[in-house]
Amino acid sequence: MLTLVNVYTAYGSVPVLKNVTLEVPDGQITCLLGSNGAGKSTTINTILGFVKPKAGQVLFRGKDISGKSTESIVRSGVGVVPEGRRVFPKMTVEENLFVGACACSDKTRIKENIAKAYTMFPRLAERRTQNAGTMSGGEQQMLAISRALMGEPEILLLDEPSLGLAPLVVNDIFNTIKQLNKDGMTILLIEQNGAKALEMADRGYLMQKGELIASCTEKTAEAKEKLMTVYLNQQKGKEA
Amino acid sequence: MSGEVFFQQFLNALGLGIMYALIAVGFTLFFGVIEVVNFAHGEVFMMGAFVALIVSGILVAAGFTMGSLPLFVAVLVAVLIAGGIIGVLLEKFIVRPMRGAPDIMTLLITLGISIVMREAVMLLVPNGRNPQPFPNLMDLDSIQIGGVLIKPEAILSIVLSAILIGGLAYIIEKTTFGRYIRATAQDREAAMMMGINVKKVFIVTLALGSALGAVAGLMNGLSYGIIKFDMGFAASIKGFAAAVVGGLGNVYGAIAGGLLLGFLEILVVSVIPDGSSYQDIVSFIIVIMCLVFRPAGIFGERAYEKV
Ligand SMILES: Nc1ncnc2c1ncn2[C@@H]1O[C@H](COP(=O)(O)OP(=O)(O)O)[C@@H](O)[C@H]1O
Ligand SMILES: [Mg+2]
Repeated sequence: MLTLVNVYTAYGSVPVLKNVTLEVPDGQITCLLGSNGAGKSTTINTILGFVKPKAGQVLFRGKDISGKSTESIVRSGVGVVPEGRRVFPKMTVEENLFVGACACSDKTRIKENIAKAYTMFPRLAERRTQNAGTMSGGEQQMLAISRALMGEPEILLLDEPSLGLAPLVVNDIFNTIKQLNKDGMTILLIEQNGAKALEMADRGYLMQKGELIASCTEKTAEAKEKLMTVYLNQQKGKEA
Repeated sequence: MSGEVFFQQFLNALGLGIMYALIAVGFTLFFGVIEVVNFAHGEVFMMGAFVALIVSGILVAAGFTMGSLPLFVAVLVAVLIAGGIIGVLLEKFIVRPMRGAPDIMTLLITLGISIVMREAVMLLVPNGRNPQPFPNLMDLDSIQIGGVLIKPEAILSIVLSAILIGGLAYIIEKTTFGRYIRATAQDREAAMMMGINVKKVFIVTLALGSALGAVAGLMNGLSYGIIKFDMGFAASIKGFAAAVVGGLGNVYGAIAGGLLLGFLEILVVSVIPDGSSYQDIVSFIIVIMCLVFRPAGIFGERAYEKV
């Protein structure tokens, strides 16, 4: 579905991503782990065209989308739940959902999708006329996910969806992600909450200082454990 | 002050205030959505007045009757469209190329282009250096309310401005595209992540704001019967002052700020002896006080604040 091939990205003259090659296969959950500042969000920014890669390709369904505008990339089927949720704070829940549907011109489809969002998260239905900025972090995260789904994406990019949420809420969000994937959604999940993310993933990568230093491409316990060991060692190294 | 004089001054203040509001909503939209301070906006106001003057001349030559409703409507539409087009051009040639440049550069460029626009009108309009009599675009009977004779142009300006401001508020609050404008103002990157064409949002925002600014120029001509190539400078200062008072980025604040400024100016003019010579200082004092004491505007927050 989505493939990065030897991608190099820099902000101005500051290089961030170095030779990143990763694959997000159809219908799978791929997770990208790494500590703060590793370049995970930059990977998403590169996929979305916020920063153009200096070299390499971003292939979406086989077509190189690097160099295209963010707008056209999103409209071609890439949905995103950004880091920090980024809901529109002074818009109601329902308005946020409408904005998420901006690529869709079919009014009845939009209405159906809003109804789906409310079924998935009844809490949002209760708060449909409330300004998004006044909701709790967990509710905002539900909204951010629903808003991304309004665009009927083929792949969903989630940037640290558990960040700053209470453990119980994190469970809910992770269950939602699992359910979405069961219903056929392809997912790229970025997390610092490594163990949990890897557990439900089909595939995982570990990023450090802009480079992928380990990966597991098979969904076996051993492969995951190997990746987890590198990840934990890296975390320990940080702490020491 | 007699009741009649009071009523007359009230109308003057309302007319002036709503004209400032019409200019101020442009400033505040440009700042809130695009994050530019566009000092060419005052010249759009000036050009609106001159477009009205020129188009009405052409229409009369084409057989329209000066002072008739069809002529007035045609001139109004022409001014709205001309203002919109100027806004689109400003986006394309000034705002877009300056994207990413330091704010102060963009501000200076808009000041520069405002000088160009002013000089162009001065040179291209016949006898443009001198004040131009503004035609009475709409013949209306004088209105008498409670023994006070009221200039009908004043009422016309007030009603029209109110309708246009209401229309803008409707577009922003209730339409799909208005939602995109608000989304872009609140979080531009997130708006792009939703697939919103932010470039289009900028163009429409500049077109809308400039169209209203141009109509304010037309109102000014109607109310005072005279226009001049350098009328845009004061309009810039006052519109900007009103927007700052209301909190830059806050549309309703800009409307309130415009009205407040209009009423304060008329108060100064009518209460202080020889007050009219102080009228133009009011907006400076207000801006300075605002920036010192309430930099976020009298309402203390921007309606479309960033995350
Ligand atoms: N807009 C930016 N301009 C310059 N440098 C940036 C920008 N965004 C991120 N960086 C730098 O790029 C590196 C990677 O950041 P990021 O991708 O946000 O990391 P992560 O999401 O893994 O925490 C960091 O060193 C960060 O300081
Ligand atoms: Mg990040």
